[in-house]
Amino acid sequence: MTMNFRLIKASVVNLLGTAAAGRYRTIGFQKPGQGAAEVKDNNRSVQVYYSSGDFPKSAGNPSGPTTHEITINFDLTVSAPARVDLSVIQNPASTPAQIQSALAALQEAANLADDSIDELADNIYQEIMDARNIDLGLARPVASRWIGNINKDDPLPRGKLVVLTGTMQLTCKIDEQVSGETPVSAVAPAFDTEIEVYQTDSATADEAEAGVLTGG
Amino acid sequence: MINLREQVEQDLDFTLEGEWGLPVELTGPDGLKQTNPIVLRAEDLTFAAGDKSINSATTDFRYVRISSGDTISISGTALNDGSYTVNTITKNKVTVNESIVAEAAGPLVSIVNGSMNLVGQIIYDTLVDNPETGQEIVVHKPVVTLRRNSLVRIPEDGEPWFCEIPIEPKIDAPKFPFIVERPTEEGAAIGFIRLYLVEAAQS
Repeated sequence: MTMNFRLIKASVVNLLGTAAAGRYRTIGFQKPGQGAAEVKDNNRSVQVYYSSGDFPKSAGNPSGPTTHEITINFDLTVSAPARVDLSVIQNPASTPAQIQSALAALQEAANLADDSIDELADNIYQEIMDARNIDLGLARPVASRWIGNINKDDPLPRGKLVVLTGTMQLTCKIDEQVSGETPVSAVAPAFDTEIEVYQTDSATADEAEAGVLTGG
Repeated sequence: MINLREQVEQDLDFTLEGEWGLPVELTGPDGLKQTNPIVLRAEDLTFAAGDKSINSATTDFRYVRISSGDTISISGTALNDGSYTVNTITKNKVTVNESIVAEAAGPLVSIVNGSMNLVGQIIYDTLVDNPETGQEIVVHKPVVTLRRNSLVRIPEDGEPWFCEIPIEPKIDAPKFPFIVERPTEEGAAIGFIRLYLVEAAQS
């Protein structure tokens, strides 16, 4: 029987994936690293993974359901280029005054990445903490659903884009039933029973087959 | 005899702007685009009307990056600012095809060679430390190094500068737009400035 925290994680991934509507990409596991171009502009990504769990002894039962205090991490990653009116700057017919105005309206990549990750955190928070999602999409009670913090890291000039990462943590409680590990059918081991014969001039065939040094 | 610092600066002709040089187009916050390099700054240039010449007692024009037939643009003079076509070049004299007004040496005069590209060294990929793992990784991160003396205006930190460089290390490759976003790094003593670029997209 699958433990409930796995159902919760899958359900959260499903919730966010359904709500994303192209605004971000939901990844249901922790990737070791992401390229800046993977999350450029609207391909912002959120990695959802079960981070840790506590089983308080006081809230458990050695022969029945146990409370599982779950922490699910949301790793947010966005990247952005600088934005400027290229149609003016690259137009040979533009005057220096027009180009000056276009450059003055430049939106720096770090600024855009910052706005982008704020918006992504907003989307995630609103979706998870929406009262309609009090059970996180599961048809069973989930207690104490709470996003306790949002952390943003320093922007990284990763490649030709600016990358910004952040983390949100969702905590909740759910009961876990201990049904025992599902047995698996044992695989018959394949032993190598071949005997290497390295003494063939033995007195008897049996001794040679047994690989026993004889004589000499 | 010139000192070592001047020699290093002059050698940038062969290093930064030599065989490794790739064309760079810079647009400053004033909206002015620079695509050609300044090839000479001097305070002792005199102009002679008779032989339509530019003269200097200290500059050996044979080592200035101009050739016969080049279009040069002169600025900083009282009477002779404008574009000219180079005719002949000798040690201390350059003659041009257009008329020149006699003028004595004055303040700093700059000559831009309109027949040359502004070039610099472009490093397309950079080795950086990944702060998450501490590992060194290679990222596609163009860094442009230019000779300060070739620039009409030196980029200052905080100014919006637009820069176009070839998308790959070939002189005739299509150019790609970037913004100078990080503070620049420069060694004024050895005459170069290094620009860190961020991709620019249409707003």
